[in-house]
Amino acid sequence: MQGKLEQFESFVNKVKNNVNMNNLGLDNSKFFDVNAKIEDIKNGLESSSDKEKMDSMKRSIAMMSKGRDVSTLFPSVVKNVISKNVELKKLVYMYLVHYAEQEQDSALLAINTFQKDLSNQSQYIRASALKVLSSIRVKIIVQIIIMAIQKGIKDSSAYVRKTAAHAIPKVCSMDPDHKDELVECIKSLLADRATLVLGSAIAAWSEVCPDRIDLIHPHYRKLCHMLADVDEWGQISILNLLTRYSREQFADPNKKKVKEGGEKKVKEKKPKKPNSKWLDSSDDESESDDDEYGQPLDADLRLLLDRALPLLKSRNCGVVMAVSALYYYCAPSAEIPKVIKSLVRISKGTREVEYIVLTNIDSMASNKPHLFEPHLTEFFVRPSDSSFIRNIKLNIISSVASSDNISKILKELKTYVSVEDKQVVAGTIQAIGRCAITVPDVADRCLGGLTAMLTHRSETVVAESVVVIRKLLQAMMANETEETVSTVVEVLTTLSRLVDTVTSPQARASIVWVIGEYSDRVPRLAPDVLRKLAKSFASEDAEVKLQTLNLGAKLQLVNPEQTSKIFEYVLSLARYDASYDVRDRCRVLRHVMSTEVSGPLQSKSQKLVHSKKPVPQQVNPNEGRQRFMLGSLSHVMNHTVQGYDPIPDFPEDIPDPSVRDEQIAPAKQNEPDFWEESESDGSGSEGTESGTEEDDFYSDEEEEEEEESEEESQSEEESDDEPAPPPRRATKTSVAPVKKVIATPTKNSPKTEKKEEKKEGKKKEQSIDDLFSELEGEEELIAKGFKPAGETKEKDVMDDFFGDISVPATTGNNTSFGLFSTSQPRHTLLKSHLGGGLKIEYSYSRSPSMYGATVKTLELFFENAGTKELKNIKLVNAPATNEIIPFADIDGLSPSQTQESTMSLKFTSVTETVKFGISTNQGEFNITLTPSVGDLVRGYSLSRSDYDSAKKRLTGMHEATDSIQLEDTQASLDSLVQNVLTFAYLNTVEADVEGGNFKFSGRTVIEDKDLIVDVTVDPSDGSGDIFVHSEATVLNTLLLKGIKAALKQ
Amino acid sequence: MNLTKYLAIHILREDLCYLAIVAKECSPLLVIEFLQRLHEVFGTYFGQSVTEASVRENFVIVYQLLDEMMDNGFPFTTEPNSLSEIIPPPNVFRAVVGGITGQSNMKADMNTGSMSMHPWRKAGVRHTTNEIYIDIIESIDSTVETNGMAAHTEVSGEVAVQCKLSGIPDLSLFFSNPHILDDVSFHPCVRYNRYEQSKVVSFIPPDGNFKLMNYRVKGQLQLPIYVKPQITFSTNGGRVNVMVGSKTTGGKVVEDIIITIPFPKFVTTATLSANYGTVQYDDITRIAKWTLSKIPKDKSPILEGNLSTTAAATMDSNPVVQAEFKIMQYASSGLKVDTLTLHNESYKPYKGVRFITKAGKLHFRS
Repeated sequence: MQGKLEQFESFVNKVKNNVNMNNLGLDNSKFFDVNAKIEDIKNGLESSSDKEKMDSMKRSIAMMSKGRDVSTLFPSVVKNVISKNVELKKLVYMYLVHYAEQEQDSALLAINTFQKDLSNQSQYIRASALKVLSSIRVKIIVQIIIMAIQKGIKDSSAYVRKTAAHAIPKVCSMDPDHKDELVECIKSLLADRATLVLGSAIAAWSEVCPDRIDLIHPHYRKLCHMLADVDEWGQISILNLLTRYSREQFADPNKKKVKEGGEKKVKEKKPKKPNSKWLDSSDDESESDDDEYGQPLDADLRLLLDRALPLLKSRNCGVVMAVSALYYYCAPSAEIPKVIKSLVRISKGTREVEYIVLTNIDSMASNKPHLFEPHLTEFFVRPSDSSFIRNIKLNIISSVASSDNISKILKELKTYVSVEDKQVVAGTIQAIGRCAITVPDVADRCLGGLTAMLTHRSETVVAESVVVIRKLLQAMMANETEETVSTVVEVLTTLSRLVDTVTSPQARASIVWVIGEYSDRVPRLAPDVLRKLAKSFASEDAEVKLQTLNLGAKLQLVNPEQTSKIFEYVLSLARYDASYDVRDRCRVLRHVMSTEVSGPLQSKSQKLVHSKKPVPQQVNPNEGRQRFMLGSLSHVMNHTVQGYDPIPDFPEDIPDPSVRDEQIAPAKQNEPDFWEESESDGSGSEGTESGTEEDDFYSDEEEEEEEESEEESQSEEESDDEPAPPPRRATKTSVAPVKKVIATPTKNSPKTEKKEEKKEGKKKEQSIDDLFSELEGEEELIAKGFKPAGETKEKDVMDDFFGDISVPATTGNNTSFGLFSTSQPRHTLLKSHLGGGLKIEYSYSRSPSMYGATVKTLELFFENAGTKELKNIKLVNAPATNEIIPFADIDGLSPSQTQESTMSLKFTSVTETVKFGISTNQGEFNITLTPSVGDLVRGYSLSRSDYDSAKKRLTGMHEATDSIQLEDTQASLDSLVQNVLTFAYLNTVEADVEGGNFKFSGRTVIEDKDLIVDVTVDPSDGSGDIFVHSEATVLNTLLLKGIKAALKQ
Repeated sequence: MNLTKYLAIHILREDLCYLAIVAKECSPLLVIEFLQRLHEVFGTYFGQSVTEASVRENFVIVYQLLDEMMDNGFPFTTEPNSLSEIIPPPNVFRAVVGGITGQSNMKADMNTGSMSMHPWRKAGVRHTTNEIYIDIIESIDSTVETNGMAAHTEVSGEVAVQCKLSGIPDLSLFFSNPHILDDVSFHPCVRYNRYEQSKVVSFIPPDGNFKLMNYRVKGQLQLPIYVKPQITFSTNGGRVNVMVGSKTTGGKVVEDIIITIPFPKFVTTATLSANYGTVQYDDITRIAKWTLSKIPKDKSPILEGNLSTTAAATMDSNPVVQAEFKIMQYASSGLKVDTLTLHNESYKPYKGVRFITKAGKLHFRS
């Protein structure tokens, strides 16, 4: 027995030794330590033993990670890609991704294997192959990769589909030429119902085509419903997307009922921060009554807000932050407090998280201090806080200060002052100063406290106190009362005594300035201060010398008897000073204050020196951050990070809400397959028991929602059985959308109508006037957002297409301005953050230009979105190549003011951009204007016979053609004319909806030559052709592409 | 306009720096959360502490994990349970077998169902003994003024679960007094809506260790201990007197108390002594550490001593004293677990619940 035990023990030890000796591959660090020869690795890779191969692969990966170049092994590694050993394969994949770009030829050897692996029965292998294939940045195989993706998005495994979603941005960044195909892939991924896929699909969308908001519309509600089930990372992407979406698609929930000028009033209230004007507007209303709010919250926005709220319970700070940003930007102000508690919770996370969350809270608090007032004590500084955390907390505290909590705050701040760290004390003093300016009631008390600090041992503390005291005094003197005067005198007396002791130049300069400014309050002390300073003048810092000169000048005006001699003395000292500035100041003052000469300067000397100084504003050191979106990287960095897109403002005109209704069978033929397969997948692997379990899992909590989505899926399955069902057939689910379509016009009409009226007023001179008044009663027109661009169209054409169209369809425009704006779509010419606050948008005018047929007129919309008054806005650096008739110079634009203007120009090329500059008092900004193909033609009426002859004449290379397949033939036919006309400025010659014949005519803008467009569609199956004829061949192709895209919508 | 091309976001955990390079706008919290998750996953793979050595030892797994957790700059699979299906954790037995036969220790395929159903739980879990342990750890953050009043007190709790249950257990955790929970956050496995409706934490747990929920409790809470520091400076030195005692602890013993006093820079030497426990004073950092294994019932521990100072001493310096402690089987918030029920599975698991209260950021002003 004993013997056996010993034997066993020795065996165990042997095993242990072996393991410890790393013979068995458990400890891989040996691969780092030994510098193997490339030759040996190569031999290993080509050996027949899997173990040898593994070791060699590990070795080469280890060398790779140490930065050694092991690319020479490439041929040997590639051979192993066929290995059956998954782990080995994985290592080979890793290696290939790293080196494929530089070893393109050899990499192609592996492509076959990847393609084979793409059909492997293991979903893991399929996904890995797709992942690695898409990571290989070899341009020649881009088609193969795209095919692999197209296959991947139809895979039965959600894991593979997720991988496919990730592959899309990779390919797009490698070769943007194939974007269209990739966008199609994204489109079908967005229709996927697996939560695993959705987050990645949205991430791909955000990366590849964030401008294609039209792809999101049909899935908006689904995204809201599934939000809770998507993984955390997906939740962040979706929330970010939906926040932007809401800002573009819904009415501002905090906007007051449209009373003339109501909005303006709000804007004027705080003209200092027009960047955040919408913040202010909501801010101010929070106290006012709810019934002040305008139209009720859009049901879709409500849905989003409700679905996002539970995510505040997520363990992931990023999710909580994203929900908070959503509420902050899109929710009615009364609801924003719901998110605060969770936000404060995550601010107590690890220090990295703490810092980021606190900077966000800081920005929120400086706009809406009331949100954080209840949580004040949570922002009290702890001794263990690092300096960056401490400073933000102090900021937050001073933002949140109000007369209710100020005593609590001051008590707390006072304890920080007695801390050893001077930086803490200095920061605290600044915070006290900010509090005192925010809450003037306590300025007295703060001042008292700060004066006590003047005896502090530390220079920094004293200097900081003096500077803050100076600001406070200024603020107090601005609205002085008897009480304040006595305090001020007291403080001034203390300060003047400090001249003897304080040494910090900044503090001394501040003291001198204050005494000079309020010398009339201490008429006897001030000359004495000047005397002392004159004595020590030579040894003072330049900053102090300048202030001494100022003090002298000021005193000479008030009290010449006592001071003129001293001032003269100081001036003569300053004249030979080492500092340029001091000498300059001396020269100026000597001249201005001269009693001998009497010119205009001398007579104004009083004004020059004793002018009233503006009261310092309470400045939050982090003010600049607020221009960035909460939760963004740019916000934390406080500068624009590449790829940052500012949060859009709520639209003035609300885009059509019906776009979110479940639409005409979206293009997802394969989608039902996903369903079936993934369902069977689930039950197959886990047994029927687990299949039902899944139902249980959600049913108790989300019954309603579940039902709804089940119905949805049912209707989809139904639609699977019978091909191409009419969209309104499904009874239960689709009822609501249909209702909505009908309801839309009536809901929207009163408001838009009003707007239309306004617009009409503006455009009195236009011939279209009578047409509008005729149609005014027809709400449909307005609901469809028909634009005044129609002004040049024939009246009869308009009439008949209004009569026909009942369902508005999307147009070809992907601009962020929504699909149904009531004017031409606006494009951005200059973004406000690039233009020093100046924001310019433009749209192409579709009325004939007064300067001739070849001149295009642009309507410009200027807005001052910055904080400063903009002056002398004018066009500069007009290009030599293009004739430009600039817009009339704008003399001034105060913050939030807008102005409209027009400019005209001649385009010289279809593709070339026009570059010019805009100059303001903020500087000069370069502008690049890209011609829009649809507006390089102009509507020009041709008779039928002229049309036919033109068509005959313009053939061969003057003709561009392409075939098209319309999805939902009837609806597409109905909206075809509108879609084409929205995209391009053309004139309708014939619109035969039944027969599917459409003819348009126009003239090219650049050459002023005839251009005709012919669209024929077979109404039975939706197939058709588009023809564009003109002498401008490039334009033909581009226009053709554009029309095709417009019709595909 | 100055556009930086790359930005680096990093976190420091256990002397390892996790660095992410960012080329364009993204959510910084997403990046930090991801790095944190990475660290946690490494922890579950290599044992509790992640060190340079363990990363080197397992570099192949590190690469595999990185490859799986992040794809093209976006998080991919991050749930430990799902990951362990794709990349098996290092295991002596498998390594031995693999080492001899040269076979892969990766599974040829993962279980298809688990990915889409409950991504956090692997399928087909079997344990010979079914057991689940729940640790409720509360930490108290507070700053106490010189007069003994707390300026601000807060209890944050964490519910850590060690789950070894077979199959797909569906658990419900009932608290006797859930209303005291001020704010909660959950592991994704918890059904949020169920909690909203009936304050029951209902979930299908991942296998292994995980953090089920975090909560905060606010309001008037009694601190379990008091610390009364008196540190005074005069022209020729200073005096220290610190008293420690326990308050309401529900009869439980306060253990492992550490009182840390950071003296100002002008203090040159300190002679400190205590009637209970041990005192250490570090001359370089000027930090005194007073360690007590527990608070005795029969006497009240006092730390006393004299300080000598340099001429630059300021009278109005008040160091802030930090305290640490631990109380087993005690929840300072008063939270009570009612029951933990299991559905869906027929076995009777062994269930254990344990409470710990400890100090978080506990500061006493002197």
